[in-house]
Amino acid sequence: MAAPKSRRVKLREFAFARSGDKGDGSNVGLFVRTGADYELIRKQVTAAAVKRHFRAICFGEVTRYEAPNMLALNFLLHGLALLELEVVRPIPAKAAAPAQKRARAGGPKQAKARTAARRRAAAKRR
Amino acid sequence: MRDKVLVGYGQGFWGDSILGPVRLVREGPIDYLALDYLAEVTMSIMQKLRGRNPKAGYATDFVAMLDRILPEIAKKGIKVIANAGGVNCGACLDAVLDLARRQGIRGLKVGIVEGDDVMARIPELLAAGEPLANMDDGRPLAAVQDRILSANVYIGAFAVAECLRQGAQIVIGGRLTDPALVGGPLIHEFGWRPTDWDKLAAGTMAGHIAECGAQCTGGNFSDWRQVKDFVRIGYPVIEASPDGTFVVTKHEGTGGLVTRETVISQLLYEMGDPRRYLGPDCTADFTSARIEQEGPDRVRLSDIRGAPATDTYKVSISYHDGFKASGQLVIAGPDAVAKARLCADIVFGRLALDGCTFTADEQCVELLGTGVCHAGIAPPADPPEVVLRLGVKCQDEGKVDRFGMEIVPLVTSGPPGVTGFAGGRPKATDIVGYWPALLKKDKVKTSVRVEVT
Repeated sequence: MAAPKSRRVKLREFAFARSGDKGDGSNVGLFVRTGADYELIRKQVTAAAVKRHFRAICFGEVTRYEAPNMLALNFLLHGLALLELEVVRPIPAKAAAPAQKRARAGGPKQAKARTAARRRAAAKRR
Repeated sequence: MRDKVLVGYGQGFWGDSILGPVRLVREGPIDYLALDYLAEVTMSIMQKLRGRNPKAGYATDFVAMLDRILPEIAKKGIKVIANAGGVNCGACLDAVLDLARRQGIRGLKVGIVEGDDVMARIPELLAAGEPLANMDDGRPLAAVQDRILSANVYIGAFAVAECLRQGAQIVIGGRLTDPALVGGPLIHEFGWRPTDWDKLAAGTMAGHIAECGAQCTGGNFSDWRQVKDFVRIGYPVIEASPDGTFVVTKHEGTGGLVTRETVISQLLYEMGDPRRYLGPDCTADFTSARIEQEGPDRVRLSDIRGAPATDTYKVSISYHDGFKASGQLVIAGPDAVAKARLCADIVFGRLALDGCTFTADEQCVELLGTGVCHAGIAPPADPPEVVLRLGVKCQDEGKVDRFGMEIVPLVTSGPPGVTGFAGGRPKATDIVGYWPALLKKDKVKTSVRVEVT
């Protein structure tokens, strides 16, 4: 028998999500409508996958909880820099460098080059 | 005992629409109107206001709202539960009594619940061996003790029920938990006892669903295209039964949507471990609930299980953590992104020229419109215009104010296409740090006072 056909889909095509503040980070709740879809997200949307997805903004652990009655997974993202839309929370030293990079469009390589260029320019001005 | 109690939730935070409570009172039946006005930062702002004026420090929006609908509330006999007292319940009580008298409403009973504000008691509590360590990282309170702006215990539903028992039609509290605004009326009406863990858990879940107002009736919902008539969105009404089951619904004819999905969305909001939702009155197991669509805009929850509460209250402490300022400019294309980057470099360059430097983690540079909210996920965009948002934070207020003066000059002394500067020079404002801690329950005494017009 041929293997069932599969295709990659975005979660937003069939799942729902809600997020809020939680301690030193945020949570992301994710849920679906059917048992089959729930099995799918339980298998594929692991804590590690979520951590990878948010690698640019989440600097701590990701914990996953299951709530089968809601066909839901709840992810706790610790050490989240909350997209820097607020300059409120102290950003740990480790996070400061990537925080700078993502303030820019472009990849980290360009950002690094820009930072270096800016330092040189600043030195010149002084 | 009634076999059904209707609790409308008309305000999810201080700043939510005044139409929420007004329309809940006018457009359908409710027995109780619950209103949440507090967030962590709110308490510190209120302490500051009270420091300047002993009659301030509560949510003035609450009194403005009552000014519109108190006669209808009094006539219909609707009871109001609000944590609008902030850090000055007594002043809020006086303002409401004054308002009722001005409106000629006689015999209105207004009560307050106090005991949540422990700011003045911190030295005493530390001396008694309560560490009040930071729940997130374990640091001892000594790290910020000289900079504390507010400290409030999250009070539960039984204090609200006691105030109702003493006859209050309007109950004003300080830091009552958001769910307690729903749980209090249910305990009062149904005679639930402190060991009725399952029922208390149901009250907690009902309150959690309703606590952000329209966020369970279609607001902020993933499938937003399905939501009809956002303009007239209905705020939630909890239709509760004595056995702990309840229906989430909204007034007939209002906009919005109540489905299994909109309710589950809100159940997951700010969720930690769904099996252990900790509150002052019980520990609720959100995974125990049966959640069913029983009709259009009606979702029933049943079978909810609870466990005993812990022996501690959560305390929300806020402290001064330096200063911040931010401002923004619109950078029109062509080459909007390149010009915006240059603008950021010019601002921090000129500040450095004047001896005012900020470290990398004290600076915030964002090019809104290029995918800032999807860092590392969406490919960076090159849009025809961007909003450049610049911010700084540090301990030195003078430096932060100096930063604010260097943004608008870009309009004439930077690259072309810089516009959209509005709102004046950014000024330094306090950064309010949040310090969650635990406190043994026997260290806290709540008290209730009811007065009549």
